[in-house]
Amino acid sequence: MKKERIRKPDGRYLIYYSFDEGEIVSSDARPSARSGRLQAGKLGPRKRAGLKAAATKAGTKGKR
Amino acid sequence: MSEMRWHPLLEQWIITATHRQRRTYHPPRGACPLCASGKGRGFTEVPRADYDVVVFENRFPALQQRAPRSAVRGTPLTPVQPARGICEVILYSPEHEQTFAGLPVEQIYKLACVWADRYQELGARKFVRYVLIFENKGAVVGVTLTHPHGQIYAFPFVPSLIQRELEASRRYFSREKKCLKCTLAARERRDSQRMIFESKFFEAFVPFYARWPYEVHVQPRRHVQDLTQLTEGERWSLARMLKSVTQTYDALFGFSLPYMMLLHQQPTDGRRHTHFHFHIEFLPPNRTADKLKYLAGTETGAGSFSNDTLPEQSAAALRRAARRAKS
Repeated sequence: MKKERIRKPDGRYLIYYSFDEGEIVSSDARPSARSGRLQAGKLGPRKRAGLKAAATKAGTKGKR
Repeated sequence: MSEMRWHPLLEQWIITATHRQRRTYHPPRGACPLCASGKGRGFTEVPRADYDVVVFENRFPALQQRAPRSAVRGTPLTPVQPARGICEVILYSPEHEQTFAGLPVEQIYKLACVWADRYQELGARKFVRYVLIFENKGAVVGVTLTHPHGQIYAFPFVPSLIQRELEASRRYFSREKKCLKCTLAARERRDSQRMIFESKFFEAFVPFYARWPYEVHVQPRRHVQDLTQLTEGERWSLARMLKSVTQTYDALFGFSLPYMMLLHQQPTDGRRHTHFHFHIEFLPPNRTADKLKYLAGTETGAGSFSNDTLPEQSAAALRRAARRAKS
C-alpha cells in the first residue's frame, strides 16, 4: 500500500492510497488457504425438527 | 464557533460546530464536490480520479486540529474545552453512482487496509483517544452528498456509547474471565436463529438485543480489539462479509437500503483494553420498505429503545434476502 500525501490550497491534507496488483490477491486464490466462502446461516436439522415439533404441539393444543 | 461543552447530567461532551451549518447540502449531480476535478467541473475536493482510495480532511469538521477559541467560558460544573480532533472523509470510489454494496471485494479489502492505516495514524496522535470510522448512507440518515464515502472522527475523548460497551465488557471479563462478545457470538452460533452469515473468520448476525429492526453485527471469531490485529486472510474475510451484508440489505426491500455503519474498535488512549472485542454495527433505519424507525420520545428523550420487529424474524427475512442477492 502506497500513500501520497498532498496539501490542498487551503492547507488541508489529502492522501491518495494506491495498491500494487501483487498486493491484492485474495486468500481464496491461494492454494494453501481454506475456502473462506460465506455460508448463509441456516437452522440445523435438529433445530428445525425441534421448532416443527413445538409448532405442531402448540397447534394441537390450540385446536382442542 | 466550535467547542466542547460538558453535559453534567449525562456526563458526556457535547460538540458545538456552528460552521457546519454552511456545509454543502444536496448539490446537483454535476456539482458534486467529491467527484474528481476537471471535465468542466472546476476545483473539487479531489484533484485526480486515478486513485484506489482517497482520504482528506473534512472541509466542515466538528473537530479540528487547531481548534478555535471557545465562544463561552466554562465553569467547574459545566467545563468547556476546545473541540480538538480530526475529521476526515474517505472516498470509496471515483465513481459517483457507486455504493458500498456495488464495490468489488478487492476494493473493500483495500478500504479495510486504509481503515486500519487511518486508525493507526490518527490514534498515534497524543490528543486522540478514540478513532471512529463510520458511514452514513442515504438521505434519510442525513447524508448530504451521495458520492460513496465514509467518515472518520478522531475524538479527544472516548464517546459515551463506546465507553458503556467498554465498561460492560470489562465488568463481564473480570467476573467471568472471558470476553462478553465472544460469549454472545457463541450463543448466536448455538442458537442459529439470528445468524445471517458464517465464515471461517467472521460472522454476521442480528443480535438478540437488536435496537433497530434490521440491525446486524459483523465480528471476527478471533478475539481482537481493532483492525490492525487482523491477519491478511481475516481482512479478506471481512471484505467478503461486508459485501454480502450490504448486498443482502439491498435485496431486502429491492432498493439501496440506507444505514449507519460503525466500526467499534478499542480506544487509542494508551490504556489496555484486552477485554474489548472489535465489531462492526450496521443500523438501518427502515422497519419496512416504506416506513422508518424514528428515534423519538423514548429513544431520544429517555434512552429506551423499542424494536417493532422480532430479531429472529428479521434474521429470517435477511437470510431470504441473502439467497435472492446470491441468485
